[in-house]
Amino acid sequence: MGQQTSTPPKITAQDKAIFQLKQQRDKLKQYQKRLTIVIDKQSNLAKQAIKDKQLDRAKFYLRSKKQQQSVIEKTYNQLDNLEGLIGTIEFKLIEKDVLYGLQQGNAVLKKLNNEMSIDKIDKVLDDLQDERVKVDEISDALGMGSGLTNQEEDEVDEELRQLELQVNGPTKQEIVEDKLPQVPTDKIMPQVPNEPVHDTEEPNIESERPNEPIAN
Amino acid sequence: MNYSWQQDRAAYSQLGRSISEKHTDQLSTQLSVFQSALINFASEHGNEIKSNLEFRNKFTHLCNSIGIDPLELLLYTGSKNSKIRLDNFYIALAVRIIEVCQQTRDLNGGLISIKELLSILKENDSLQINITSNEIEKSLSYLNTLGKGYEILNINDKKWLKFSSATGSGISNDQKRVYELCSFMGGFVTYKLLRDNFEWDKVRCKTVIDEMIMNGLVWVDTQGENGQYQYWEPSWISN
Amino acid sequence: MTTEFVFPKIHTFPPLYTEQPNSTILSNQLDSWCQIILQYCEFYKITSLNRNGTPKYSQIESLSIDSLPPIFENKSINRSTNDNFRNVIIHHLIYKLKKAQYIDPKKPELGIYVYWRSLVEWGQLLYDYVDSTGQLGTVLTLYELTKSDESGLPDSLKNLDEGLLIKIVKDYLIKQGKAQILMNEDNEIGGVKIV
Repeated sequence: MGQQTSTPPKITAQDKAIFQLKQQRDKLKQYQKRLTIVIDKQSNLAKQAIKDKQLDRAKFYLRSKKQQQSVIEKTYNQLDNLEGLIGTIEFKLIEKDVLYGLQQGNAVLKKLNNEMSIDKIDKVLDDLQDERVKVDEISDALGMGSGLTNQEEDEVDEELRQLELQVNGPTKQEIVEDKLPQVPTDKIMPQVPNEPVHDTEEPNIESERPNEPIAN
Repeated sequence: MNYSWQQDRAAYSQLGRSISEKHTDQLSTQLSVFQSALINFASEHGNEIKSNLEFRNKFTHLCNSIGIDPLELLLYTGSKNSKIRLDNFYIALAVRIIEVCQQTRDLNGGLISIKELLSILKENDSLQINITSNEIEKSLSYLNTLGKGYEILNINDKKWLKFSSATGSGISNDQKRVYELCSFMGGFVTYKLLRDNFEWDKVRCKTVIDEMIMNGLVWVDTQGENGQYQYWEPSWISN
Repeated sequence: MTTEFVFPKIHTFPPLYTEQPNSTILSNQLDSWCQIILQYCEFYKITSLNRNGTPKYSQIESLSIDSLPPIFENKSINRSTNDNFRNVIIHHLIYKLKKAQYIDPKKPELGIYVYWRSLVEWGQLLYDYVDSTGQLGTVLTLYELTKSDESGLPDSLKNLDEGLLIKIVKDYLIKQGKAQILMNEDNEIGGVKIV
């Protein structure tokens, strides 16, 4: 344990107070011990005096013995008081420590709670909203800022429409073509058994096929 | 904070201690198993160890690396049958005797009774081998090739081992007689006793005794009867 | 405590009481003496000796310290050490073996503390007691730590010499940062706080 010489513990004012009390207690204990010895001696002396038929003297010893005994009783009361006081102080010190602990805990809790106040939370949420708006604005700004003016954008749209027309033809015809399956072509098929052969002869003329329904 | 740190520390050191204890236990069992295996090995291959130099070197190295005294193995292998002790045994015993002599020299000045020697040998040895004084004498005969450093003396029917001490040239005849008188007188001599028994004059007494004091062969006691100095032989303590 | 300390056999070896002229023998002799002192003191729980080698303080209250068999004298063989040799032995015990210290180095006549238990071991014992009884951090009076019948003191600490107790606290526990002392109104050390 502890190889390094650390600083010795400090003696507090409370330590000193308890020390004083304990010293008083020790003195009382010593005093009691002394009195007990005196009492023993006096009872022996009294016995001896009775043996020697010196009743007066025996009575004197007994009387002073009685006196000592009452003193001892008193010292016991005082001792009780002292021990009680020491006990109370020591307990109070522990209570103080506990209180200190509680205070510390409370302070920490308070601090934590302060950090969690409603205002703060509202503010944080508001801030959050603000930031989100900003993000939208920025992305809007970024969308507008792709390098084209409104007119150019319109032109691009127009070009797209043209291209679509070229590739797919007018959109209305597409709708008609969609309706084609409703026509019972399957009944016609048996009457024209050679047509599939023609079809295979000119399979690449796809562009003519959409026109056929119009001819019919 | 500090307190719990200390507690942790104590708990850790406790744990560490118990782990290392366990390790030590395991290791010592392993070692003792290994040791007995080595002993078997040594007794089985004794001849080979002796004759093959390379083999012997390796064997000794092995013994040293796990802290076993090869001599101890020799004591073992040589003493398997106590009736037929082998050379090995006597050689190992001789080494032990020399060790004891070295260790006790400061106390006895180079003169030790066989009885004491035996009791020290028994005390030191974990091997529990019964050794007799005859065997000690036989062991010592192996040392004779090294010169007469170790010698058995008879003083009043008791056997003593004398070995040359670093401080002196050994035991002179006069010194031997002092020891004879000591054991006769219950442990000590005085100038007067020497004079009365051997008719030595004061100078001779002083020379012999002073040298014995210098070599640690006797202790001085200044509180003898009638203020006479007594000179005690130290083996008295252990007898 | 009715049993008596059994001195080792060397205690009846007459030349033991004479300082040996041969220095090697002397050092052996001094070791033997110190061994005797330490065993003797441990047996009777004597923590301090007077300068002349007689027991000064024992933890055993019922022990009549003056009627103990003397260390430096053996009546059966009519031998005793002289003062000078006694000092040599004590010097050996203090400075060579470090198993004793003058109670007050400035007043060697006050005698010595004999450490058959080292200050560190004493300190550990004391600390363990205070720790195990939940009294760490509480102020304790010396009286409480040595004499009190109610505090459940272990036998090893009971009735410890207050001077030695202070030395244990000062020389070991305070240096370890584990204790602090309190003065009483006579400006003497009266209490200790061990943490």
